[in-house]
Order: sequence, then C-alpha cells, then structure tokens
Amino acid sequence: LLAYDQAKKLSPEKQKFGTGHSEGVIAAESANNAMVGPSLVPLLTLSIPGSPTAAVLLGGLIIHGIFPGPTLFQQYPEVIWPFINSMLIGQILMCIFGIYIASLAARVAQVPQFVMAAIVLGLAAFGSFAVQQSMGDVYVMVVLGTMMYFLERFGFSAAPLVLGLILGPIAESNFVTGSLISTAQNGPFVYFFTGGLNILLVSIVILSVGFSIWSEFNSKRQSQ
Amino acid sequence: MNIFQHRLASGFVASIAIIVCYISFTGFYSATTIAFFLLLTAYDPASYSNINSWVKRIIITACFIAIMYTLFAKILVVYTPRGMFI
Repeated sequence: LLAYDQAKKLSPEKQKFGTGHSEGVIAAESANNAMVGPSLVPLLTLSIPGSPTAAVLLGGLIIHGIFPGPTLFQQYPEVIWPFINSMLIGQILMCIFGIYIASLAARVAQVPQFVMAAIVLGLAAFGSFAVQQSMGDVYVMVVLGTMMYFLERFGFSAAPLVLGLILGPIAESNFVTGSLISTAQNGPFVYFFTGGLNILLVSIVILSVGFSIWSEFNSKRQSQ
Repeated sequence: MNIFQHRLASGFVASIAIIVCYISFTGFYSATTIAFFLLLTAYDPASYSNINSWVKRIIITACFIAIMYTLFAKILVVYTPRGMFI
C-alpha cells in the first residue's frame, strides 16, 4: 500500500491509478514480494514481526517453543538455516516460475466480474475467519467492507483504513512500550526526537506528509 | 464504478450477510455454497430459462467449493465453523 501510494504520488498519470494501471500494479506487487525477506530480519533477530505474515510465523515458532531473538542462531541453527536457505531457493524459483507463468496468470483478468466477485466473497469470508478463528473478524470485515463501499463514493481511499487496521495495534503497543521506557528515562521528547535514527525517521514522515500536501495543492492548481 | 459494478458490490455485501447469518446453522462451506451460487445466479447475464447456464453455475460453484474444501479442510486442516452440514 505504501509503495502504491508513493508510486501514485510520483507518477505523472495519477488519474489512471485505481483503474488497473500497470504502474500501480507493478509497484504494489514488487513491494509485496520485496518485503517478505526483510520482514524476517526483525522477526528472527529481535522478535518483532515486520508484517502480518511474520506475526503468524512468530506465533508458529512460539507454539513450538522457539523464541526468536539475538541468541536464536546459536540455539536453533537447525531451524533457522533451512529457513534462510529456503528463502533463497524460493526467490530463484519465483523468478523462473514468474517468467513462465506470468502469461498464464494474466488470464485471470479475463474471468467475468460476477464469477470473480463470488470467488473473492468465499475467500474473504474464509480468510478473515481463519487468521484468529473468530467470527468477530468476519463481522469487522462485513462492516468495514460496507462502510468502504459507501465511503469510496465520496472519494475516500481504502488504503489508510487498511494500513491503520493492520499497523495500528503494532504501532500502539510499541508506542506504549516506548512511553513507559521514556518516562523512566529522560522524558518522551528526548526519547522519541533525539538521536540520528529518530531524527531521520521523523524527517521522512514530515517530508512525506509535506510532499503529499504540496502535490495535492499543485494538482488542484494545475486543474484550475 | 458503472451501474453493473454498483449492483455487483451491493449483491456482494448481501451475500456476505447471508454467509454471516447462515454460518452457525449450516456450517461454513454450506453457507459459502449458498451465497456463492446466489451471487452467480443474480449477476450472470445468461438467461434464466437456459438450462445450460444453470448447469454451468452449478459446476462453477461445485468446483470452487470442492477446491476450497480440499485445500483448507483436508490439506491445510484449517478449522471452520461447523453447523448441520459442513
């Protein structure tokens, strides 16, 4: 979603996004593929899941009594190295299969909309239930889906909502942890806004928000 | 979105509602089968009087549910709500 958002911001053909424009599809899918490996780095070294899939993986490791962290590579090399090797082999196979299957996979776009909608219906209901085996998640999916159907007609985008839903709990729990640590140390301002990495991240956030506002103003001025 | 897509979206929401309502009575796969078939029937442009189109809808529904059931229930052994049926 972030890659799609950035590609949209930087593209000269913003109005084509959301209509199956190839730039948007390529950006989203490239980022989706590229984040699989890197999301395992904080998971395996710091026990911090970098993606929902990594969070599920973390759950699986914990169920088997394996707690990811800095000592993981010494304690369970028989688990971790096959993991990393399979990722490497997977990337090579992905490249080979991607080249040969892409033309066949593109035919999915020719499936009639009513058939595709019915298939998505089944998978959406199943997927939302299966993650936590909770009917509550299915209700959330129904409510949010219905809400977004109406909100999209008023120009709202689903991307921030999905981001908030996925990243919100992770950001909130980490912020609470950070707040507690900062209270015990030099206070929240020093903890969150000093140090090279903090300043870099805060600067990127400010630049990204600023660029969005500037880009929006610019496109409105051009349309006038 | 064009009118067909709006109709499809509203039908989609209605079908999800059917799944949610029936899931605890009939079971996940049965509820999905009902909603899937209704959605196909409602939006398939083929004539209702054409017997071949009914056969086609039944085959598509059966194939989809069979794939889902085999993949998730048999191979991956994922738990789904069970009711009177599966």
